[in-house]
Amino acid sequence: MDYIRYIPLFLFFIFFPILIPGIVKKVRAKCQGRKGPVILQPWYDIQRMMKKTPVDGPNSGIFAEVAPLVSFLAALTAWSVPVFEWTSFILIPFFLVLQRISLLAFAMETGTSFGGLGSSREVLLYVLGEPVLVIAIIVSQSSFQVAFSVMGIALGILFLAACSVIMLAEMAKPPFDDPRTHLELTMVHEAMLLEASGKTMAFFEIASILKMAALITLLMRIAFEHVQLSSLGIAGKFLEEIIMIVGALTVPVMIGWWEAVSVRRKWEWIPEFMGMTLIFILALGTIVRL
Amino acid sequence: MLKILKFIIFAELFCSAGTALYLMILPNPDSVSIIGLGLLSILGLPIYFSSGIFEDAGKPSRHIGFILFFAGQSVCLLSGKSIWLPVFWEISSIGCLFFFPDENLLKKSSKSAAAFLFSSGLSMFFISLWIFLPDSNFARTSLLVGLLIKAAFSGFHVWYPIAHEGAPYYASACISGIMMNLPMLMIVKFLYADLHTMNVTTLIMILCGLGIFISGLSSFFAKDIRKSLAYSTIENSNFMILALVGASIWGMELKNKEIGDSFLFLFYFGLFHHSISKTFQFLYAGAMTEKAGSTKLDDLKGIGRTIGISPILSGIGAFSFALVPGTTGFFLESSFLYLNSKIFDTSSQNASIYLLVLFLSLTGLAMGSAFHLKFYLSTALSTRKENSFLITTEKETRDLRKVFWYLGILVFSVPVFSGPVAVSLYRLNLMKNWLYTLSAVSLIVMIVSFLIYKFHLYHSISKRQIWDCGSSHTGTEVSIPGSVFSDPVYFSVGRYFTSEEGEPYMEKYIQKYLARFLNLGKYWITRVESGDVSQYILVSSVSFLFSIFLIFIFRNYVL
Repeated sequence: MDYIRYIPLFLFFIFFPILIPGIVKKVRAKCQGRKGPVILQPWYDIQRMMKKTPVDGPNSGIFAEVAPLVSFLAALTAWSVPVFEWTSFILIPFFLVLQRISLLAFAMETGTSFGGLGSSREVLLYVLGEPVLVIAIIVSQSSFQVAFSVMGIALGILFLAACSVIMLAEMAKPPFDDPRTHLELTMVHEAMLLEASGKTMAFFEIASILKMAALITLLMRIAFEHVQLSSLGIAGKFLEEIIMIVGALTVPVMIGWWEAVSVRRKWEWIPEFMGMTLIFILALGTIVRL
Repeated sequence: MLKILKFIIFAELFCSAGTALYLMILPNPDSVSIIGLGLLSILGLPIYFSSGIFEDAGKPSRHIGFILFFAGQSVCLLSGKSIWLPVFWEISSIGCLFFFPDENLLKKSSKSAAAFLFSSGLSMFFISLWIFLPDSNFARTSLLVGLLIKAAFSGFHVWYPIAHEGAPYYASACISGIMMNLPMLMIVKFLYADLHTMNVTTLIMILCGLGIFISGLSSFFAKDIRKSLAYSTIENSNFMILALVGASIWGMELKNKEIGDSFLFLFYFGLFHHSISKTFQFLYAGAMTEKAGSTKLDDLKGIGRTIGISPILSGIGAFSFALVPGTTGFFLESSFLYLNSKIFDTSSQNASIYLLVLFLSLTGLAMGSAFHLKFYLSTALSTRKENSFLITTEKETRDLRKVFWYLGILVFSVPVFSGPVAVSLYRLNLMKNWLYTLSAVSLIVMIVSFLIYKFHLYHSISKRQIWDCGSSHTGTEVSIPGSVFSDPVYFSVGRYFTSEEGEPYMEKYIQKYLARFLNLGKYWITRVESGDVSQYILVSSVSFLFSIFLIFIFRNYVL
């Protein structure tokens, strides 16, 4: 009977990545007073790209050939972890590292100035974002319980807020990156993909969507990790999964709204802000521990 | 003559491997000697082989150096508390000195040799104190200090980057990949049982955190590739000592014993990861610096494309340090994180202090990983502006490929076997499922990679065109140096801890005051006339009397 909980999870695993990019774009358009594309438009674009043979750069080599597939497989594995919980969440950052390295290697091998610029910025986000993400995951993976009190709830909300900051950085969203601008000088993720085309671009796009899905689900798992509904038996576990799925579906809506109302901040500001987030999580952890 | 020297080297490596295997079948196997000798024989071979790729293969001094180095290391691993320990340790150090250029001794090389000798002498002084003094806290502390100097522990590491700065690439690989293991294994052999009684574990733990943080930053910001790799080694060494201290702290608490055992496993695995991956990195860097004639990372941009090695093969060391799934680095650090989540569950007082250490460690480790990425991306993948033709001979490329394949297979195969072996040897119930999962993930990564390669599941490049920028440029005009990755972070993070050259401020001060102390001799020299023997005799006599006075004080009042 325990298998019942896997039915919604399986459906979630298939359909959530299909919906995310469309929801984000739709909500953003609505907030800006536009109609926006249909929900499945990003996937129509991917389908179109899949049919085209990639055109590679003069300096491209082995990474232009294998990186898209590796990136996709790494993101797919990372996506499966928070959904099915087949292993500890600690493995998620490692698969995301593989996905990131594939992208970096592709951009650097092509050898364009924007590839280098995007790679440099991506490494900066990695250096500053990784410790925060890892600390958040370590805390969520321990069986540590915060008391159900005003203080406990406040600490939980603050912890989630700090986690959300790092998720925005990892997902290349404002204030860290702004995919809407299409000005190469302001971009991170898109700058690395300027030379990608056809099937290559499609794989990278899918990997990016799966990564976003993994991070959103991880955030929800962290939020509900220590909500104990197990006393209700199988129904409790089922309920836990439904709450997580509903929570995850609201996040793309919030991201869409956030993209509509916010802008990308100055690049110099980012390291300071990430450093502050790290110190904030440390202070929070110390308070909780004490 | 050369054949005899070669025979001795192979015999030494063969004996080390044989002794390690023999020790394994004994009733109470000595894991310290087994691991030390095993790593020596596994890594000695590729380092020795690679040393002849770019240098005159018939140079006898290099062979004699390897003979002394391997012999010294092997005997040290097998010796107990006896005078043979410092004697053979010094023999292996002297062996290393044979590697330093003997003709046209460059300023950098002589400085490196001096730093190496100075640290070795100082360390052996403390180790000798432990051997000759009766067993006491003081004697044990002096052993600890001696070993920490050799292990380039935080604060004692000042000599280490200097020693690598002018060393040939294979000497660096020997010092970092093999020699670095010895002091840490000696800590396990002679001090591990008493470490928690010495009241220094908390201090060491905090210093480890600081060491990982500062050396991680320094490796990321340093402009010289050898220095960067040296700082990365210091980061790894502090990480392993942290694991050892963790094993000691939690291993002594009855209810947390399993955490302690897991940390000890982490320490041993850390030795494997560091030795294999760092040897790879030093040899890869060496191949480029030999050909480029420069050790500045920015001068090496794109040179990896011109040594005839596939970018995937040349990146294995960097992938391991960047924690790509399936590598030794991934296995080590994911286990470390897993253990940390278990520490959060303990009610131990040390867990609160550990939170601070964890914060420092994670930031330092991320910086260290970023350095290896920066190194790899800018050297192996960036385009080469000039001299884009192959700069290595066919033989050099073939030999390099052999060495990298050998080390690459180790990087990917060790994690596959480590989980089941560790669980059966150490009975790590706490991490049993976790280690099995990691081994399974590593195996799956290997199989998937093989399938992708075998069945050509990726697209082949059929059409090439550059769209970016226009102006009919071909892409080779853009050559991206390593500083592109580190410079943007310097003004927000780096400048508080290191100079623009990546040298930590703390280290600069230590070096400054150490140099002032050592310069006291200059003051004396100015007062001595040439050939004034009586002055020298006076200094020697005073030093001798002072030594006797110190021994008298220690014997009667301190101990």
